[in-house]
Amino acid sequence: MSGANPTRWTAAAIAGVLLSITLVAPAAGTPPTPASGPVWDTGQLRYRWLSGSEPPTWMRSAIHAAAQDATVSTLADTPSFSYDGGGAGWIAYTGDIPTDYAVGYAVRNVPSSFGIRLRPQGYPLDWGTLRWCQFYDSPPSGCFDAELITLHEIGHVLTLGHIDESTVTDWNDTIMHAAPKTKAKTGWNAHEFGRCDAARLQLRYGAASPSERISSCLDLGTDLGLSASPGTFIDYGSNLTLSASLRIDADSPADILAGDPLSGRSVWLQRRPVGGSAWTDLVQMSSSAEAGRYFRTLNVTSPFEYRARFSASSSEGLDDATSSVIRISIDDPCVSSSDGHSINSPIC
Amino acid sequence: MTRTAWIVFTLTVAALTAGCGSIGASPTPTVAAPTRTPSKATPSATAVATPTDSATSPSPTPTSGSTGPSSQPGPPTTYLGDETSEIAGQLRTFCWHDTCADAFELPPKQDLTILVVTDPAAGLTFRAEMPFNRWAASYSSRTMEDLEPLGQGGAVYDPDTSATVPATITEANMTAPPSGDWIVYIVMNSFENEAHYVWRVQVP
Repeated sequence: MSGANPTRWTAAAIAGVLLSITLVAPAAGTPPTPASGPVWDTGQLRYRWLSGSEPPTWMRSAIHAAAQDATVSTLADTPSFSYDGGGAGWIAYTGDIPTDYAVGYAVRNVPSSFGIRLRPQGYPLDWGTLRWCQFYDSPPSGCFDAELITLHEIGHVLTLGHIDESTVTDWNDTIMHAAPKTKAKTGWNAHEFGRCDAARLQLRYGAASPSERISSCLDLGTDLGLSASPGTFIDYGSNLTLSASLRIDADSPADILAGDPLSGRSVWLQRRPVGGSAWTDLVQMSSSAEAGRYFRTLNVTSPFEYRARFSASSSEGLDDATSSVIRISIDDPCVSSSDGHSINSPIC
Repeated sequence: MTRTAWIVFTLTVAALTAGCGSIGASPTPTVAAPTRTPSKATPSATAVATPTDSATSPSPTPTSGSTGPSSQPGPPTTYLGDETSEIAGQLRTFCWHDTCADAFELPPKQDLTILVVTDPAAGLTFRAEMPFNRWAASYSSRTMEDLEPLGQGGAVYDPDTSATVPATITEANMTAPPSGDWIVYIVMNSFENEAHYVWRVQVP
């Protein structure tokens, strides 16, 4: 199906999104790419050339590039791909594919091995003759980019399926189209997973790290907590450390991501006078060495109410969050701990 | 649905699919060796270590008519018809259990059996030899890029969230394409599996 004519699909997409909506995908955008089956529980997947079906040099370069693309663009805790002559997985450049139409064919045997088969240049398929762009010094229009197609097959190895085209709002949201573009149509040479591919991989494998960007193809709630040390009632002029904890909502339907800490984000400390209504940004909180923790130490001489605020970047699929309010009282004999007003006393 | 319940359900669906045919049922054609034309080095003969092939290895000889390397049951046979007749679809792209095949394009019309629609107003009916939960139909005169939506229904199952498991469907009805000679393309999802089928449909 074609994403080149997205307007044709608009009406169908609206219905499709309504039907397939989940709580983790933005309501109006392409959903995470479908996937199936068990995931790999290993840090690295090694591939070799299948004996007797070794790719030519130009194809090898494209395959290695795709392996690198896959390793760096998932945003998820997926295994990396690398060449190893003794690898359990293999890639073949072969016409021996059990269909008369397929350009690529991927089989995964989680957790032990996988196989990817790519048809040779010039192979006569039922719909036409296969042309790989990398085969040519000057690739002609209509050729397939071998790096993209290999990355697509690696996507299958990582358990991705094909996107439902009726739900696609931007062709570049995924490389897992049932009909990838040929040169020189938009997206014909994409060399990284689309944001909705990455979203699915994050849903399946978890984020690559607490500081990894959460794909904007997702829409996850966040939870922001705030605590005060040494407490909420402190001596005048002493130091107060406010610590925030930012996590993906523990009740998120995105099972594997729920409750995960979020590091390296922009978390601001806000304050207002006791009993006031307007909050002002006081300072950006510093990241702690502990995942998902942020802190700020203040020298406090007046009572205030504090809260933390997280404003998600538009490049991420996270919702904003605000912490609960902490009221800091000052142990100052001349200041009322209840309303912060000066006390009219002989000793003050 | 809990993961445990999902596993039980998956096993049930897998059991239902047993005997529905094997992946890659289309025969491999007799093929001429690809002819290399312009530039670049010839295919490398560089030796690499070649350990014993794993279970995913294809047979050492071309597997004409092979069921492919997967031992899992493949996509089911599906049918498209009108009030008077129905014909089996030709399997194209699929991701079924642990195997994915990528066709990328539609077959030539002359390779497909023709469904001649007698009463376009009555629409078309799609059915499969196993329950499914989502379908999307489109039609084209020739290429994937020209596909126009025809109808869709059901809901996609998301195995990675706490989303509700969608209901199954056994049959889907859709409007017929406009007058003409078309390829009808239907994507069928059976929970985590997907398969794409084509038919040639002539509408008066």
